[in-house]
Amino acid sequence: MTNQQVTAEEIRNAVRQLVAEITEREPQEVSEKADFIEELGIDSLMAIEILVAVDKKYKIEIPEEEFGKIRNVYDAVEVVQRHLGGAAKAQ
Amino acid sequence: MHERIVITGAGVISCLGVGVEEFEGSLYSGASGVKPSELFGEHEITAEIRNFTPQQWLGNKGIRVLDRSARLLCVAVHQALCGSDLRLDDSGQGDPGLGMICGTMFGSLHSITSFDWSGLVEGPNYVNPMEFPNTVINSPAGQAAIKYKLRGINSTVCAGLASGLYALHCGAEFLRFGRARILLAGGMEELCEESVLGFGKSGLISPSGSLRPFGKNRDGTILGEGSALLVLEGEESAAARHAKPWMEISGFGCAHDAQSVSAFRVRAEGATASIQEALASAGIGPEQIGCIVSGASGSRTGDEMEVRALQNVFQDRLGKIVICAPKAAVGETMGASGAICALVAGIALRRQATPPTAGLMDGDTSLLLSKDPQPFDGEYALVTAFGCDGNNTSMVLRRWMQ
Repeated sequence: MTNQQVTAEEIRNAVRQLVAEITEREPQEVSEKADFIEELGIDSLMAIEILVAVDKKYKIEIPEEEFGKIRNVYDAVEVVQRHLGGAAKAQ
Repeated sequence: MHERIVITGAGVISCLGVGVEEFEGSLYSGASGVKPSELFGEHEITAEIRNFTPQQWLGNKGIRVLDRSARLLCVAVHQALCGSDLRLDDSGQGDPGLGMICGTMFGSLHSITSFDWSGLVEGPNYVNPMEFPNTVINSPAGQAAIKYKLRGINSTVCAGLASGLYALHCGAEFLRFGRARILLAGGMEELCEESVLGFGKSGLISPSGSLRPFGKNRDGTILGEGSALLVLEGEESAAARHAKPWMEISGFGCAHDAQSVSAFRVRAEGATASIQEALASAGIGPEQIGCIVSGASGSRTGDEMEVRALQNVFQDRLGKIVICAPKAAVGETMGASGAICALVAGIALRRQATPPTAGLMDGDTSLLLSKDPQPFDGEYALVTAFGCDGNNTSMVLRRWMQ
């Protein structure tokens, strides 16, 4: 699969699955707009775990500062898409 | 006069079951957990905990960050607290007088190697930060303290196969110094492919796949896993909360006689000295020992050293003292083994009978071994834990009497 073929829907599902796993919830309990810190109880270490897992999955490198601004699944999908686009252009 | 340190409860998980009752039942029935491995494939023989599902005791939340070592230890803590009326409610702030001393040989060996593995194979950017806290050897004790709000002393003792007895001794000393009110002390060890590989390559695992402590044709050990914790407290603390003591720690001895990192000292100077010191600190002579719970693991030189040490101390009387080697049933549980043997000694003192040495076939005839329970009449039990690194420990336990 090339980067261009990854759809927003696929990224959304993957991030939800990951967040669910890390916060010990079912994926359907993680809504797109649920706040990582306030609603899902994600702490700084868990956030880095999500970052590393996303980087590994999509072979991208999202800077920590940029990832730190992500508040929910919706933001995460957007950031991943942006970096995938960048990676695709670079090829 | 030292304050008497009593044991008022215990928690255990091993291939023989979870909780003292199940463990005791299996042990005295002569059952053995030494079987073909489900974790590493049938070609490996281990004494592993099968279908380990800690969720039934630990719940589903917060378990993801616990590795196998931490899960084993947490189950033992859970059992120990439940069996001692110490269970804290979830809203509690924890008890600053309640702590833990955990003995372990390797700690979370698998977490340590898998963290390194992922850094080397996938690159340093891709290591999982949540795995990093589990790479320190006191992580299981820390995780257990977080989960069960043990706010007192939290210490991990590493002394190879002697870790479990050392941890019990350290716990008793901390209590005598007044540094804690109640301590959960004992040992924990996980079974993982790294330890199986290391012991195998070092030639310590039985090629015939059988664990025969003191057996004439013994050819090595079989690895097991588990955790045992004893609830230790001063006599007064136990009386104040109306907890019924079960046994007391009467004496402890240790001596180091390493000549190599991996070979037992068959002349047994250290092992002999540790038994003598344990008896002296208990204030008794060898003739007062009613039973021996041995740490013998099927090692050719290790078991030979142990027989020599016992002969040095007990001389002609050795053949008249009942003795058992629980590792025949639970495997070599390394850092947990001393604590498991101490628990067995406590059960034996209460029942006034030692458990069977599982599957005994060709035992040393100078020892009173049996594949059946052996009754005895006595107040004191001797527990031994000798390691090939020269760490030799012995403990004397006494049936509780006012």
